[in-house]
Formats: sequence, structure tokens, C-alpha cells
Amino acid sequence: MLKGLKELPLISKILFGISLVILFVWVIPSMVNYFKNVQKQELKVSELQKSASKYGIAGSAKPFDKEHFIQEMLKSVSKTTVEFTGDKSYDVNIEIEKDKIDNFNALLETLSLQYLVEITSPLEFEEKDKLIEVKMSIREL
Amino acid sequence: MGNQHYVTITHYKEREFYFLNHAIQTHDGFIAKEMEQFHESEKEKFIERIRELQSQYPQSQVVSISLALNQKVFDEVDNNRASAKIFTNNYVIQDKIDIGNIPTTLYFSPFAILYEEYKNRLDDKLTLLIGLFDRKLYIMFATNDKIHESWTIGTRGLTEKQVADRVYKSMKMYYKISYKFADHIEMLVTDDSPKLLKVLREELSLSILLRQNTIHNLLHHMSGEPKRTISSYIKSSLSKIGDDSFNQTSEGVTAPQSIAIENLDDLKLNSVHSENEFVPNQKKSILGNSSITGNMLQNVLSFLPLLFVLGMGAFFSMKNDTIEKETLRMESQSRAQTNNTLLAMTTDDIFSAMGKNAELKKATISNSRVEVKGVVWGIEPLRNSLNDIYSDGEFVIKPLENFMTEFSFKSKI
Repeated sequence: MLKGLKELPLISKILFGISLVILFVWVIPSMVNYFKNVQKQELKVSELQKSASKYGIAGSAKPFDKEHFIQEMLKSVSKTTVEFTGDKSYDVNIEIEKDKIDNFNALLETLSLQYLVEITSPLEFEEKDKLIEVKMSIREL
Repeated sequence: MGNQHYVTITHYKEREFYFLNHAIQTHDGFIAKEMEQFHESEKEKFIERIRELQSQYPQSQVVSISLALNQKVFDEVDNNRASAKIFTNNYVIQDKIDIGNIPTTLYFSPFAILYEEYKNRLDDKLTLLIGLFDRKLYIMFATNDKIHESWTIGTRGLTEKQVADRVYKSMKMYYKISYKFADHIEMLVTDDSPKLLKVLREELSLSILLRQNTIHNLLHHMSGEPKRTISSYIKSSLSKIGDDSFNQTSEGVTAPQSIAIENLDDLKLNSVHSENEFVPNQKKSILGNSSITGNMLQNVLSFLPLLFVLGMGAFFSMKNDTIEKETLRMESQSRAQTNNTLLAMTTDDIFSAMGKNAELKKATISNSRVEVKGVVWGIEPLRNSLNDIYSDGEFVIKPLENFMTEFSFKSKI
């Protein structure tokens, strides 16, 4: 093989050298990073699946859809409004009966397993006509 | 006496030297004289020597060889270019005859010489004929009825291994267009090159029958008999010399009469054709100028490892970017889920602590602090419950005018 390399024209040798440098400096590190990230991702997927199965949620989280979110919330709370505030963020306003605050807690626990969102503000509770109004901000992941 | 003999004066140029030789043609073959060599700076002297031999031998032909790389064997004659009929429906064609002002009356192609050397050995099996003339390979695939393909390969600056490699690639290319491999190889070399032969044998894994001869001897042979000469010297399209211009008498070897042209300059084509016009009309174009094609192919192939490495790098970088984004999103989702669970737990704790002892008016709950305000009925039970959860919390009560008591609770988590 070395003999074969020696017989190559100069331009071929130079190109071969450049190829080797690129291989070791760029390609192999990229490959190693890629396979490390694959393992890391598999771990995360497994963690999330474990959490989801704890709450009986099948499938992975969906991108946030305002209308779908409102419809789903209304199954557990009295009223829900969602207002887009820019930069993938929304203000969410929920009204719930006082004795059904557990429903809200259940929704809160599964929110990020069902939708690709995070809560970015403290929860603001306020009593209004025997209902509790909860305000929070969420942002799409 | 000697002056009445038919003499063939042969010359060709290799590198910076002109080589000159002459031979007396007899019934039993030719008798070659000593070879003369002239540096290209002595061109005039060289021409003068040819003239001298011509005057010394009135019945003579001045013979040379075309070592051009751009000659090729075709099925049809091209009247616009210099051509020589090798045998039925096989013509070697090149752009023009270009020998400058050097006296030449007959001009042969290496392809014609190759065919002449091996024509009696050809049969219906495909044979690869290779001629090595002046470090150029003249290659043709032939059977006894046809020359199927031909091309030339320059070997200057190449190692024997590289030359053998090019011959092998040419064979492979021919196989791709015809699905035929040569059954055996015949090789005619005019240079002493045992190493090339050895490498060729190793690379092609075929037996190669070698024949070695000098260009002078081959030219003396080609021009020795009128029948042989007339069938294969290169004619210009402007030359209207008929095939019957040679007269062979029953008495033996005689000089060709009517082709005693002083200089082939007279036969040069008037029109200059560009290389591009010399494009074969068949699939042969792939093999048309093998040395150039070979170099280009080699250069293109040199880029392959680089392209492959760049392709792999780009692929993994792209995939890596995608998977990094996905992993980052999953980490955010996992973190959000943990925060939400903690929030839900805190909320549940606060509402459980209030139970029936208090009623919520307002609360702010996060994972770092809680602030609750409401109306309390059982102060101590509420204080105890809240202190159980957040021991450092600040519990404040405030009597209201309607005999009710308001409480507020603040704590860091």
C-alpha cells in the first residue's frame, strides 16, 4: 500500500493528506459526538416515557396548539382563556371550582408531558365568585 | 551497381534527436546500414544527408512514422483527413500529415505496422495488440475481420505500473462498451523495456507474446514491398494517388514509381481542423484520447477521498445538529415536567394546610416562594399546618371589622 501511495502524483498525495486531516479533525469528532448524543437522547426518551406511563399518557408530547389545549382544559375546569403574548409565549387564565382544585393539580403535573411547553411565571390564585382564578404564563419549547 | 537497388531511407524523431537509416531491399529481405543520429539543432545537416542518399540511390523511398497521439482506427475513410487503409473497412485517420520540411515520401501509422506484424496471427478470437513506439502505446482490439477499437496512451513520465494500470483500465473500458475481453495479448515494442512487460503481465494476468524490433526495421519492412506499402501508407485526402500507383513486377522487388513524391508537404491538408472536429461518431469517444482522459480520470479520482470525507463530515455534522436540538428540547421538557410536579405539590400542600380552617383570597405560588392571603377560622390549626410545611414562614393575622380574621403567610422554599 505504501508503495502504491509513493507512486501517486503529487496532487493526489496532497488531496489524500487533506482528506486525512479533515477525517481526524472534523469527521471522527463529529461521529463520536453524534453517537454520544444518540445515547443521551435515548436516555431522555426513556425518562420521559417512564414519567408519561406513570400518568397513563401514551405517546410523546405534542407541539402546543391553542385550540386543542383549551378544549382539553375545559374537560376539567370551568373556563380557560389563552392569549398569545409573542416569542412563543402565552398567558393562560383558568377558572376552577374551589373543590376541584385537585383537577388543576393533576393538569399541572401532566402539562409538559402532553404539550411541549414550560411554565415561566409563578401561579397566581385569586378567589372570584366562589371560583378560583389561576393565571400563569407558558412558553413553547 | 549498388545505385540500381531499391533503397528505403527511414527516419523519425525521438525527443531531440533525428534518427536516420537506410537499407538495401533484396529478394530475401532488406540489408540495413548503420544508423545515423542528428541533434535537432543539426536539422539542416540531417535533411542534407537525406538528399544525399536520395541522389545516391535514385530508386529510393524516404519513409517515416507518424507518432501522433490523435490517430485512430475507423470503419470509414475520412476524405478530409489524412488516412491509411489498414485492411478492408479499417482506416487509420489523423488530422494531418505534419513532418515539416523533412523529405518524406511514405508515412506509416504504428497501427498499420502493428496490423502488418500480427495479421497472420489474428483469428476470430479477440486479440489485444499493443505497440510501444517512442514511449507511446498504440493499442487495438482486433479479430481477423475487423479492428474493433483503437486508442493511444502516452507513457511519458509514468511508471511501468501506471502504464500497465492504464492499459488495464482501457481494457475494462472496452469491456464496458463491448462486453468482450481479449483472449490474448500481442505486444510489439521498439524500446527495450523488460520491466514494463513484466508489470503488464502481472497487472493483466494474461500471457503476452512479445516481439521486439526497431522503428527503422519496421519501416524498412513496411516499405519493402509495393503491395504492402500501398495498402498502408498514410494518404492525404488531397492526394489522388491511386492504389495502382505501385507496380509490382514478376521479377521481384521494384521501386514504387508514381508515388515518388519529394516531400509530403505537398500532401498537407489545406483546411485546419480543430481537435473538436475529430470526434468519433460512435461510442468510441470515451476512449478517444486516452492519455488525456486517463489524466483527467486520475485527477477526478484523486478528489474522491476528499469528497467522501467532506460528505461524511457534512452528514454527521448535520445529524449531530439535529440530534443536539432534539436532546436539548427533551432536557427542557424534562426540566419543565419536574418544575410542574413541584408546583403541583406545593399547591396541594397549601390548599391541604388551609383545609376547612381558612379560605383563600389570593396566592402566589412558585418553586421559590409562596405568598398566601385569606380568611381564617381556626388560627392555631392553620398556623401549625403551615409551619409544619414551611417552618421559616411568616404567619400574620389581622382582625377585620366584620369580626372575621384575615391571615397572610409568606415563605421561601
